Amino acid sequence: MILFKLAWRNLWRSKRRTWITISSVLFAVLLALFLESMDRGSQEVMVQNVVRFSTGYAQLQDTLYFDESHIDNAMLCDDDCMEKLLEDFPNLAYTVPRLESVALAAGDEKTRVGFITGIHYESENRFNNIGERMREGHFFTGADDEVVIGTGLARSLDLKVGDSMVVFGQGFQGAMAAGKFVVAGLVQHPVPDLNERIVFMPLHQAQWLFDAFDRVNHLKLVPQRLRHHQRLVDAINAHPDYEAFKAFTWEELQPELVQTIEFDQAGTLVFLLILYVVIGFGIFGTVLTMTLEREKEFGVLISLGMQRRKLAQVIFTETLIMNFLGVLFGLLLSIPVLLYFYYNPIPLGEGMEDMMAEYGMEAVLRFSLDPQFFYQQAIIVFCISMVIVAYPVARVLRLDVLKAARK
Amino acid sequence: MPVIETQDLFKIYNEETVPVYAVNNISIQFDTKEFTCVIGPSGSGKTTLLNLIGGLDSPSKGTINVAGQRIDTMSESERIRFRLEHIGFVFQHYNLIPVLTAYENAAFIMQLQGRPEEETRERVTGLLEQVGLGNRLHARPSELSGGEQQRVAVVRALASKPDFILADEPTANLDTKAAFNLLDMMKQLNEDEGITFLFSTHDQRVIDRASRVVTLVDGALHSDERR
Ligand SMILES: Nc1ncnc2c1ncn2[C@@H]1O[C@H](COP(=O)(O)OP(=O)(O)O)[C@@H](O)[C@H]1O
Ligand SMILES: [Mg+2]
Repeated sequence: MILFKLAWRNLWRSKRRTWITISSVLFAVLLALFLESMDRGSQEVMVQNVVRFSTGYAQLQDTLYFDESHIDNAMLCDDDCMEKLLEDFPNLAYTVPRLESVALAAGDEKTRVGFITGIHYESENRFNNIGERMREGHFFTGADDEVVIGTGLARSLDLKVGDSMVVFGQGFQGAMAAGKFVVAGLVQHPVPDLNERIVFMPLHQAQWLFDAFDRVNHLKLVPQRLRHHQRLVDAINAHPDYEAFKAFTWEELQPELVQTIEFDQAGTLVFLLILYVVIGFGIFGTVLTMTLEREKEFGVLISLGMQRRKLAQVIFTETLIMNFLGVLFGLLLSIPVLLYFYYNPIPLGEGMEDMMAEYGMEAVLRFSLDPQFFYQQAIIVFCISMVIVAYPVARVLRLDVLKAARK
Repeated sequence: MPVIETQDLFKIYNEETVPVYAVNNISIQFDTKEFTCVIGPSGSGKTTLLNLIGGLDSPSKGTINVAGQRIDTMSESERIRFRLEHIGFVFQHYNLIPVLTAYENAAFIMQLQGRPEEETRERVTGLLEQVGLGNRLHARPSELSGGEQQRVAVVRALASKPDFILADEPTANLDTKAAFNLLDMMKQLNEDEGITFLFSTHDQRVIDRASRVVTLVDGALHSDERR
C-alpha cells in the first residue's frame, strides 16, 4: 500500500510529463486499434465477397475433383446424401449444391460461351442473396425450362425476358448436352466476368441437361458459426462414411487470397511495430528520467531500510499506472470512434468504385469490432512496460547507496 | 551491555595506490541510552565511522557488533532488513520524501515494517505533537522550515523504537536557534524514550549537550570523554 502510494504520488510530481506520456500511449492505442480495425474490416469484406460468390467458406468435392475440376469428376450426392450430411454434422447449417460446366449458349443470332450453373435457388439465395441482384423477371417458378442469365450475357446475345435460348455442349462423361430454355430473368452478377457468362438453372434441370443425375460438382458447406469452418472440414474428412469425398476450407481453395491477407497484415504489423517502438522510447525516456532524478531519494530509502526489490516494484508500478491509464483512455476513446466508422464506413471515392466492383466489393473501407483487438492492446502495452522498466530497475538494483546519498 | 561495539575497525581507501585511512583501528563501545557526540575536523572520518556502524558501508578490517549481531558479515539484503528493524537514521540534508506529508514521512518506517495502522497513528501523531509539529501533520516537506524538516526526520528515525539512532551532522544545515532546539529535542527524547543517540558534528555550539564526546583525528580515536 505504501509502495503504491509512493508510486502514485511520484507520478504526479511532474503532472505535465506524466500526462504527455499517458497521451502518447493513448494515441498509440487509438491509432493501433484504428489501423487494425480498418485492416481487419477490409479483409473481412474481401473474404466475405470472394467466399460468397466463389468457393464458400468450405466445400465438399469428389476426391478427384480438386486436381481436375471437370464435370466428369462431379460427386454423387443426392437429396438423401445432403440430408445425411446435416444429420451427421450438427455444426453444419446448410449446404449449397452446384452442378456447373461450360457450354455454348445461343440466342437468335449470336452464340457465346456460357457458364451453366445448376443451383438450389433457396439455399443459393440464402447463401449469397443472389435474388437481390435480379434486374428483370424472376427466379425459377417451377417450370422445367427456366433459366436466369447475367445481364452482360443477355446484352451480348440480344436476349430479353421471355426469349428462348439454346444450350449446347458436353455433359457427364462425354454425353451430349443440348436443350432449349426460356429466359425467366436477368441477374446482375457481382463478378463482372461471370456476369458476361452466367446461366442459372434449377439443379435437377442441369443434371438432366448434362446427363449427370444425382451429381453435383461440389457442395458449399455453411457452418453454424462461420469461424468454425476448419473444425467442420476436419470432422467430415475424418468421417468414414465420406471417404469418396474430400472437404476443403476456403483457405485451401484460395491460397492467393490467404497470401494477399497475410501480406496486408504483415504491412500493418510492421507499421504497428514501428509505432510501438517510438512510443516505447517515449515512455522509456520518462521512466528513466523519473528514476535518475530520484537516485538520491532511492539511496535514502535503501539507507532507511527499504529493500531494493521494493523500489523496483515502485518504479514498475509507476510505469504500469501510466501505461494502464493510457490504454484505458485509449480504449475508451476508441470505442465511440470505431463504432462510428463501423456504422459509417469511409467511402473510397468515385475512382475506386469500378476497381472494387470488379472484385464484387463495395467501394468503402469497413471496420471490424473484434473484441480481440482490445485485450491484445492491453497485453502488448503490458509487455512494453516490462521491457521499458528493465533498465531503470537494473539501475536501482545496482545503485551505490553512499554515492547516491552524496549527490 | 554495549549496543554498539567495534573491534580493530579499519576503512582504507585506495589501498593499492595511496592508502587513505578513513577509519584507522578504532575499537569502541556505545552503551544503551548514551547520548554521544563524535567530533573532529572535516575529513577526520566521522561519516565513514557512522556509515560503518549503520551498515551502509563495509569495513576493510575489523568487526562490528550491533544489538548483539555481527553486521560486517551480513549480506546487503540482510543489512537493509537489519537497518529497518534496529537502526534509525537522521541525515544532514533531512532527506524527507518530498511527495509524502510530514505525518507520512514520520510514519514511513513503521509502515514499511508493517506495524498496525492504529499503533502507528498514535505513536507518530504523539511524537509529532511532542516536537511541536502537531499542526503541521499534512504539510509537505517543501512547506516546512529546515528545523521542522529535521524534527520530522528525527521522529521518523525514532517512531519505530530502534536500538539506536545515527545522525551524521544533523545540525549542519540549521541556524543556531534551530540547532539548539533540535539538540534539546533529541536530548529530551533520549531521556524520555531511553533511546541511544550517536551523532557527529563539527559544530562547537552543540557539543555541550552531549554526555560523551568522542574525538577523531585522521581516522583514529583521539579522545573519549564522558561528562
Ligand atoms: N569514497 C571515498 N573514496 C576515497 N576516499 C574517501 C571516500 N570517502 C571518504 N574518503 C576519505 O576518507 C576520509 C574521511 O572522510 P569522512 O568520513 O567523510 O570525514 P568527515 O565526515 O569527518 O568529514 C577523508 O580523507 C575522505 O577524503
Ligand atoms: Mg562527514
